[in-house]
Amino acid sequence: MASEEKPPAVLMKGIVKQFPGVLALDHVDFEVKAGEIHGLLGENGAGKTTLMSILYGVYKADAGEIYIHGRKVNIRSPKDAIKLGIGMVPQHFKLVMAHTVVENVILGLKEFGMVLRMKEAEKKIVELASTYGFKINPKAKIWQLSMGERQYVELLKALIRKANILILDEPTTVLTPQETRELFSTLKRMREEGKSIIFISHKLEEVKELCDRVTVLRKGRVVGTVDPKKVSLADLAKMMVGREVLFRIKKEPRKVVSEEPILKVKGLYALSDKGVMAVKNVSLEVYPGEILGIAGIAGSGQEELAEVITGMRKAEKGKVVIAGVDVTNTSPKKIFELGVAYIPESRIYVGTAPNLTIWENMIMRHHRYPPFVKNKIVLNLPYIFEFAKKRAKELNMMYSSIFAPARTLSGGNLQRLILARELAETPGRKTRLIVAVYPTRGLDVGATEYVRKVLIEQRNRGVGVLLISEDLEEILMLSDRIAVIHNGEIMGVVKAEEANIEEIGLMMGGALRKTVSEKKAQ
Amino acid sequence: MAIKIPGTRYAIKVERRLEIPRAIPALVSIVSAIAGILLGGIIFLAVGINPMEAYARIGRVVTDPEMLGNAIEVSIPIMFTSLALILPFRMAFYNIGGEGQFEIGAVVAMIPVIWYWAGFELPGPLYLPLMALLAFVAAGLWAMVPAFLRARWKVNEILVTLMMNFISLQIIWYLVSPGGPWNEANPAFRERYLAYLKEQGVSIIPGFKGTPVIPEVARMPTLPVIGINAGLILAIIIAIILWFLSTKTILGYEVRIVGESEKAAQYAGINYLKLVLLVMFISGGIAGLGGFVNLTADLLKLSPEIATPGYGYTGIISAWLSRLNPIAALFVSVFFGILTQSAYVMQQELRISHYVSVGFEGLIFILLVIGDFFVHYRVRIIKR
Ligand SMILES: Nc1ncnc2c1ncn2[C@@H]1O[C@H](COP(=O)(O)OP(=O)(O)OP(=O)(O)O)[C@@H](O)[C@H]1O
Ligand SMILES: [Mg+2]
Repeated sequence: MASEEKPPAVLMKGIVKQFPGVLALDHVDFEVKAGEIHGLLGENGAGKTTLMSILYGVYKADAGEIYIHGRKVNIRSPKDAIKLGIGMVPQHFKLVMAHTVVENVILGLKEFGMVLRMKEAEKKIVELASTYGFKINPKAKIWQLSMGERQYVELLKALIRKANILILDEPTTVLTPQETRELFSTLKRMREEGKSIIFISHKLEEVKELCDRVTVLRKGRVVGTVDPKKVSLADLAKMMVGREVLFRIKKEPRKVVSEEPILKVKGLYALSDKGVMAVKNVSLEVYPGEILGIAGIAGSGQEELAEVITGMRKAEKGKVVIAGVDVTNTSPKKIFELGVAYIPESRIYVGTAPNLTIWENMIMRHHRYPPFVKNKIVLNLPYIFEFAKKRAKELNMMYSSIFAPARTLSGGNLQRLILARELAETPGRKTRLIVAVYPTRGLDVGATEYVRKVLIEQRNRGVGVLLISEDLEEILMLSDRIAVIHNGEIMGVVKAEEANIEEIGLMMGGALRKTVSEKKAQ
Repeated sequence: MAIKIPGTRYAIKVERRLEIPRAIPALVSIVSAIAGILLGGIIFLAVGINPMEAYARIGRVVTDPEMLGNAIEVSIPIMFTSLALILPFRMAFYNIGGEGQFEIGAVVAMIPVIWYWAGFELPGPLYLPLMALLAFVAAGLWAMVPAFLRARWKVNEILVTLMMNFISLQIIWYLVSPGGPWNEANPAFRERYLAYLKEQGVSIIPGFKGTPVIPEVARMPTLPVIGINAGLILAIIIAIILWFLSTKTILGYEVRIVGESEKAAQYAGINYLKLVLLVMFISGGIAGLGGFVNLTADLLKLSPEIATPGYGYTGIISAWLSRLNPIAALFVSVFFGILTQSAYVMQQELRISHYVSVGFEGLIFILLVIGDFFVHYRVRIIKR
């Protein structure tokens, strides 16, 4: 642990930040010791990202003081922060997709000359990576990398600028459990070197495992700083939310609603963005009133599968039938009209348009049907504004105004916006199938509980749910049947009551295949 | 990025603004316009003219009702070419082809006039509406070509629209050059055209490059009281329609989503091909109407001169400075009209070269563009 004589690496005192309509931070005191991993917890919209953005110079605090290693500083821009040795891996990565790893890492650095000395930079990156125990191909293009690898690129960006205070804003939400473990050992190595790390997460177990101390924020105020080893998960959750949280949700046994599947996928093949076959001969069915969970390591083809089902990606071969209609390679519009709700993997630039207002994002997809539109041309704005406010309220969204751009929402609130829109029932359109890809990613414990409840509620009402999640516990908790995907193939389908974690783990890793019985899995 | 000021302990630093305060764009535009006008004084000094004399001319243009009327008249084509770009630019479709669409509108609007001189006359009140319709549809279809190429094969629209500007001008050259089918000396027009010219006191057909003159029935009327051509009303109506389209309709909404992210647009079920074709049809159509107005109110005959002022290009700057707001585009266009008119008056009264006044105009353009930079970036001086 850090020695007590050293001044704290970070000391923020009385930080206040007011956004139009929202007091995001209300006199927050925050301290990180040198050489510790400090967890920052709080509900969606509690102000975690805002506090870190102030430390990193993205926003300016309205009031308060910042001390770095005991010295009072004035951080006016990320450049200033970098000079002070602060690095940040943002909640939503800011990498240039078409550029290589090196290009992204050294973007804006002067060290490698005006005419970039690429070889030198590549070497330095590989070296730096191996110091912290990970590998990366410096010549790979960002879009070719997994989320875990992209995380490392962001981390390298901070490390090459000699950061010794690292901020990681929800780094693990997009990682596989394996990648998370690797990241943790990297972070622990950094701690041994004396670096200070601020770690934001909604996964309480992770915080408990990794952090030396934890500060909890609620609605812009500090609730307290605790040693996570000394408090229970339930207590941590209670500190965050201010009430008891159900970690397990009750689920009644499924009532058979219909023999006819709402979704039928047969012999489906699809390519990934990289042009390799990501979905291979997938066949499955989802029945009304059931949740079919797809378990698998992120990047095993489940995102592509969801995209083909919802019309966002071309099927190379095979068939998708929804409610008896063959929708293979039709359009997202047609599939939406059949009553399919889709919560996409990528919230920004797919699920939402961040620079458009909250109300504009709230009606996406619904926008061309009455009552959102009159005479097929004119938007019914009074109705739309009412709708946006009502849905935001129903999902407990924290926002300043429906006329504010969606990018001002906190990560979790953005996810709530998508849920509010996709799960909305509108006159003339009934939800019949929900395709939910990582629906609780980035949500706080309270919101996670809410989303899970909603999915079960919908199932009980006869909606079919295709749930894609990397959280095995979530899959086991919610699903009626579980299909396991590995490397684009379905390794088997098991009933939830008969599911055996070990077996599923083996199937996810590709070590076990259970032949799917041909008879209907009812 | 920081630039050291040599010999001092200061440096200049440029940063992107995170939040753009509401008042800044307007403020910056005004400040840079004034700065441009003041800086322009140096140009006048250089050619030996008292800048105050030059400024007095600008003052006259804004205060003298007749001159202001002329300035507004000059700004009307710019209104059309800038309004045309609002929807495509909002959906990040960079239509640089306003110039060509403007010209094609004028060319096709000319067809009934050509018929007229060839002896095929329509009922009088039909001319203007028919010509406007032809101009709109033809230029709209013309503009759909780059839209289609982009939607289907991802062909860069900037290159296509720019290249098409050369084609449209070539079409005019072909039609109106001596010996061309629409040249005024074409024997098919001779009988009627000569009779018309005689009435005007001219006895031969000169046969320059250009079509015969547009007859009175097909000219744009002048508005009573203010004495400006009726194209102004058309421009205002279009601006209002565009405002309505972009703020109140599905079309405007979908344009915004596409402009933000094509992936989100796909997710929202938007058919990019259909939308971009529709938007470019409207865009080209508006530019084409501009050509029609310019032809029937000002030029009165089709000739390659239609391309001289470069209205299509001025429209890009004007649309940009108006921040794609149709109502603002009207005012920005008037400002450009005032500049052009002042330059003209200076030429006439101060006997300065055309190039001095053009240089003056150019300087103000450049300052406005620089000013726009400050809207997005902040410059600070820092002490080392
Ligand atoms: N640029 C902005 N303009 C207006 N409001 C903002 C802006 N950025 C954040 N907010 C608001 O400030 C509050 C705190 O947001 P912040 O992003 O810090 O939350 P968070 O704790 O990181 O949440 P999450 O866990 O969902 O990421 C939210 O209510 C959010 O809507
Ligand atoms: Mg956040």
